[in-house]
Amino acid sequence: MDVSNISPSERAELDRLAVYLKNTDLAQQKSKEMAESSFRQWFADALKVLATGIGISLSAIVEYIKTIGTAVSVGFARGVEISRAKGEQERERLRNKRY
Amino acid sequence: MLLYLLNKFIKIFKKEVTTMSIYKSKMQEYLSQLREILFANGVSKDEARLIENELFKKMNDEAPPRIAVIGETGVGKSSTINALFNTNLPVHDFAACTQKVEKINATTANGDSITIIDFPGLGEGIMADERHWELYKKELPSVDVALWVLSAGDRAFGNMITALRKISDICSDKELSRLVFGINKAEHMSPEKWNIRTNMPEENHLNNLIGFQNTVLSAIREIIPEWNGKIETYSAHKRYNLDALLLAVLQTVPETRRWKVKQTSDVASWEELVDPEFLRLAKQINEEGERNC
Ligand SMILES: Nc1nc2c(ncn2[C@@H]2O[C@H](COP(=O)(O)OP(=O)(O)OP(=O)(O)O)[C@@H](O)[C@H]2O)c(=O)[nH]1
Ligand SMILES: [Mg+2]
Repeated sequence: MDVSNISPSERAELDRLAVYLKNTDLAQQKSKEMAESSFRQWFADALKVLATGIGISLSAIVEYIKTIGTAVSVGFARGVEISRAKGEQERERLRNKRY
Repeated sequence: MLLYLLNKFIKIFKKEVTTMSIYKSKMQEYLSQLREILFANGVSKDEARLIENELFKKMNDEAPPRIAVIGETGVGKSSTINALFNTNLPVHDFAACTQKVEKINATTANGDSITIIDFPGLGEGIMADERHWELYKKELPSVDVALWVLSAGDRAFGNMITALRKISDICSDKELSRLVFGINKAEHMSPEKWNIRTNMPEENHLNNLIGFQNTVLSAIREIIPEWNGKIETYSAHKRYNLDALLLAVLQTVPETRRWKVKQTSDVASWEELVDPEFLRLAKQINEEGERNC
């Protein structure tokens, strides 16, 4: 069967099918993108909680989160600060934990 | 039996290398970036590994989707969940008329968990029962999404109006924003011109579906004027518009929970029910269209 040798009424249905197919692809694409951006957000939140716990400065983490999906800039990495005193306790807790 | 198990295994395996690994590999990508920062700040390798493990654990521990389904008995609530998530909820051909909220912990064919909160039909007896509304009040705040299923062409949605009015009285705006409306059984709309080759409604059929959806929307807006949630028309049996329905569901789920719902979904293939020759030609038309752009 070829597009050129089908009846006009069938051709009309075929064209509608083609449009529907495109819309379906679009919906699938959107769902995928939405889920990926959701995962980024989830990861950022989880990291923020963890970072606060172990005392990595929150502003540095927020900066990092902004760069997710792009390359991490060296300049920003240098600017990271860790308040060690605050973090030591939590690190100890993590260290003693077994997975 | 062996074939069944084999198929199941292949499915799980395929999912593992497709959807599952999307998030796993994303996670790995983020973590390798993070590692640089941690090392630059005197965090040891072991410590960094602990942080990574903690994040992985959090990902694996993320609670399964919690989905409420609301609607009269027989509209296809269970069929809809089965079509979107590949679960195996029992489907009733005759009105079962369950009278209580059922919380079902289901497992998808891929082995993922999902919690379904099935609200019983909105018959008059039930609606007069205050305990029924207590359950909505109790359960709705904690769901990812509440899918309200109607049946296409069923103009007697007086029960829905009464129920929605009551729900809008007892629920906060935030809880109401978790609602998605789905109009199922698209093929049952008059004039029932379902094209079996394209597995789609023909034009006059589609126009009636659009008309019906608009009628439902106006009815919702009469009760909740500022309503701007999602509404989709689909068919669980024909698998028509299920991708659009899933998108509507995802748009309604809280942002940080969308990936989990998407990961659990496994939408029944609409294409499988299209005449293969027609499908091939339609794809050809689209490809040619793209080339001409
Ligand atoms: N034609 C058609 N029938 C459908 C569709 N979805 C479900 N059904 C049928 O509708 C009937 C009820 O389906 P269920 O999924 O059990 O409906 P339900 O809303 O869960 O019903 P209760 O659990 O009894 O409240 C069954 O006979 C299904 O086969 C659809 O998309 N099209
Ligand atoms: Mg059911």
